[in-house]
Amino acid sequence: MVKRVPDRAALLRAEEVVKHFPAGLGASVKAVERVNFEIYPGETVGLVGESGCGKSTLGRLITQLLPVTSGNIFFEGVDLTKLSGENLRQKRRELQMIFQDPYSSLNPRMTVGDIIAEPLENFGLLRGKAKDKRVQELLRIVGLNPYFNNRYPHEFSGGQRQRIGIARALALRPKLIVADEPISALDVSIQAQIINLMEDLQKEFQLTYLFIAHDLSVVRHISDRVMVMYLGKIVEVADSAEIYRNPRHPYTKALLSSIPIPDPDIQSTRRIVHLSGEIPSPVNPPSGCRFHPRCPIAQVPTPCADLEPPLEEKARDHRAACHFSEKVPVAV
Amino acid sequence: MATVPGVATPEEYVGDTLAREQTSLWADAWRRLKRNRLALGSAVFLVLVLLVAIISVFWTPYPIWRQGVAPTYQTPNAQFPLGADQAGRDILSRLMVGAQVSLEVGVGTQIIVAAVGVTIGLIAGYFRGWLDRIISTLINIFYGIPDLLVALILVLILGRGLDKIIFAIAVTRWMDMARLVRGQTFSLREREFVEAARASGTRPNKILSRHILPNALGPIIVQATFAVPQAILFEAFLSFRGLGVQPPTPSWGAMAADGFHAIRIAPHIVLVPAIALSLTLMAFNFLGDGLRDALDPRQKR
Amino acid sequence: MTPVLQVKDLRTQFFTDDGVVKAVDGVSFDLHPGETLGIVGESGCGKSVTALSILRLVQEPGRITGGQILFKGSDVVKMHDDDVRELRGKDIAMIFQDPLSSLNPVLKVGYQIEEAMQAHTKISGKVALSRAVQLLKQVRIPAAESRFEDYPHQFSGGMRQRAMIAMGLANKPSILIADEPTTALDVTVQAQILELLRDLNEETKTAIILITHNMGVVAGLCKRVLVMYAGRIVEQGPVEQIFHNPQHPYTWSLLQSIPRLDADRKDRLLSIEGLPPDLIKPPPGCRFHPRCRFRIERCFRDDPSLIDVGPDQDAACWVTMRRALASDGEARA
Repeated sequence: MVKRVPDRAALLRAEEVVKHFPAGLGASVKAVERVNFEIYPGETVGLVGESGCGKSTLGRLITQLLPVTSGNIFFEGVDLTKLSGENLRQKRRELQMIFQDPYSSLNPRMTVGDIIAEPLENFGLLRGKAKDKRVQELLRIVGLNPYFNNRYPHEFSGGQRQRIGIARALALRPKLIVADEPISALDVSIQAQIINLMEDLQKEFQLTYLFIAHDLSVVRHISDRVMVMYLGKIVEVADSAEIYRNPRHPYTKALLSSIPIPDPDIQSTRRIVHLSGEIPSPVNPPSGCRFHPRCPIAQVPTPCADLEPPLEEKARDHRAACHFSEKVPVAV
Repeated sequence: MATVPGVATPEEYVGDTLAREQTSLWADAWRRLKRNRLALGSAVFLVLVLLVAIISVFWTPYPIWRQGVAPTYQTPNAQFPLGADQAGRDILSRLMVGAQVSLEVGVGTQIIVAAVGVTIGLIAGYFRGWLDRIISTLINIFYGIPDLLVALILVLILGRGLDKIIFAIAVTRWMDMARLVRGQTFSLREREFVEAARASGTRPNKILSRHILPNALGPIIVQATFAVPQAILFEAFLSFRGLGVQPPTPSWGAMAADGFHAIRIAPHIVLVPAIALSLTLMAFNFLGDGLRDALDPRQKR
Repeated sequence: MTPVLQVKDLRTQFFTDDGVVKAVDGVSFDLHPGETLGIVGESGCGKSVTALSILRLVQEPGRITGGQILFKGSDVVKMHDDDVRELRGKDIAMIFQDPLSSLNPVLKVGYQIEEAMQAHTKISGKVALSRAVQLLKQVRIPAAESRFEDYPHQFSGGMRQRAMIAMGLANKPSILIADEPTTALDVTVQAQILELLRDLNEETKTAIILITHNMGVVAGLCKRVLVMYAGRIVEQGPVEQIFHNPQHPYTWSLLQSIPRLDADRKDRLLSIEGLPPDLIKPPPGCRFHPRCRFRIERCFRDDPSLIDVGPDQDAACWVTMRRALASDGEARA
């Protein structure tokens, strides 16, 4: 397990990152709202939350596939949000992405070899024979037959396609890979293949991952640290074992209690934390703590409905954004 | 293969089995098209029309402009299989050259339309913003102008050459293609493989040419196939009104117009070009339908 | 207790251009009144096709080609179309993964529930109305009276699935088939829907067949489990046995391959290499042998059938985990 050295320089630092999408009639969807976090070299940070919480948007802000509305994202000290054109394009070499849908993330009109070679061509890194050799090497690294380079994506299964997507992300030898739900579209027996592959590659190539997922059990398995997002905000950040043992935010607690454990004895005795109502619209997020209308321990109106809790250190390396974090019941 | 130790780790299977073996998606589309009898028949018919048009460049039974090769209003017989017109010109010969005119107009306009529409559509769909707003406004303005009027004015200004007619029709007909490609680009741009290309530092021109255009090509081909008969009909109409190609070059529309006043005594002069025109238009539409079914990815299991 | 449903040697095949897909290939099981039965497996294993076959909802080019489906003794496979229509929704109800596409977007939710009832029983509008409201309350939809007037798009995903369950229960069916009912939902909502299904099973004594790929979902709801692979049942038994003492290597591997929230150590996951087989040309012998780490010579050749491996537990395997793990231990020692 990679242990974090506290004063090691962050590979990536997000400061007050905000993303609003226009929603017509002057309204806007507040997809990501003043988010701060760091990612350290060599670690895997899990980013979890339910659909619409802004986790995928945040992933695309980090890889600069979407521009931020405000805030800064420093990658090795360089502010990505200030880069554009050729400067940004050059930085993309270090920051790659693995996508959720292994079907729509590969161009159906291109051969697998061309798909993997494209990043190399974009930066004029290798040509001719050397390029072909590198493509075949990448295929082998991700566990595919190197002679499949002239096949088309639709000839492959979902898991194999996800391997192709990983090979493409590895082609430029990036430092950080943002993986956006890389296994959620795959079959159960294939998920473990991809998780193991990602872990092996991390060791071999000293990769840093931001692993986005909705499934906390997968995130807990692969991550060193976990960030939990709710309605555009990060509500809790901690070591993955710690967040499971000792959640300090009631939303994290609810999420943990909802995840089914494949054991009938445990599962039949577990109690789920009921959240009342629905996830509110990110166009009009609730005042104060965004979770307060659904929170089982909220005190309304003061402080929960009128004071936004800061994401602050509740224990060593454990931050949570809750006024009553000490009241969150322990363990599952 | 039969002798395997008790515990074996079948590692070799990871990447060695393909989910399914197929050639490219184009080959797949061709396979589906071949099963559509109507579309295939139409394609064969259109190839025949094309052959006739090509032959007519080098040879026709009689010179198309020579009057009095047959008696005027000659009905079809062995010597003149499709009869002769009011000036005693051989209708078969004129029909052959007319096919040439129709195909040139139909295909010619679509080449211009595709070149203009695809470029404009790609730019508007990919870059969006003010560029898209300008282009969309332009498209709507062109839709607002009556195409017939514009084409007539253009022909009056430019003259009656085939190239001018092609240009005039293209000017009034590029918007459908531009709008289609814009829409296609809009949605393809959001697909993850385009995001992936951007994330790996692919430049916009390459994203458009390698990722977006090839995936929009299916709908573009279908659109163009449906637009060819519209252009042919447009030319036929212009010729019918005496604004088409310069006589004596025959066009199916002009031929029909020639016979119109004699429709009671010699209906074949109108009927022959009209039937040729209808069959060709129908063939293009059936082929377009077939292509749409063959190229539509939603049909894929 | 006589079973309410008996499936005997069911075969459903799809006649495609590429060949005959043997989607369900000799599946047999019983369902007892009030039982909760889970059918687990990966996509393409035949679990959904089995469910659709029970209601004769398999679409062209698919066809039931053999076997019997006995509902209270009468064979659904041979039944007249009208009788099957009467069976659907009245005796056996089904809910699907995507509730939005199962609901008519232009009709009010309440109306659709009333309609579901009136399709099978002659009751007055007034009775139907009060029963529909009661059903919405039963599936824990808050403010049922006012939500009754809402259209499907005004419901969230979880609420829509609740409405579908209400519709399914409208005629007090003997069996409710739930095909991946929570797959499209968020985990917190999933947990609530599962809890609801568990409660409803106790309240109404409706038997539930839960079809899912998620082992955790099965563990929480079902008393008995069928594990399917490549069109066959490879193992079946009581839920405790299946999870604590799986005998088929596929079941065992599947359980070892999923990361667990309560795992203390970060062990490497066991991965099942390879892909599920092509059901047009399934491999000879045991269908799992190309991916099995415990295979013996016989597995390549002979097709195993379900054999007794424990109390109420059957597995189709020449090796079974008991022997496999024992010999594995020997090898290590």
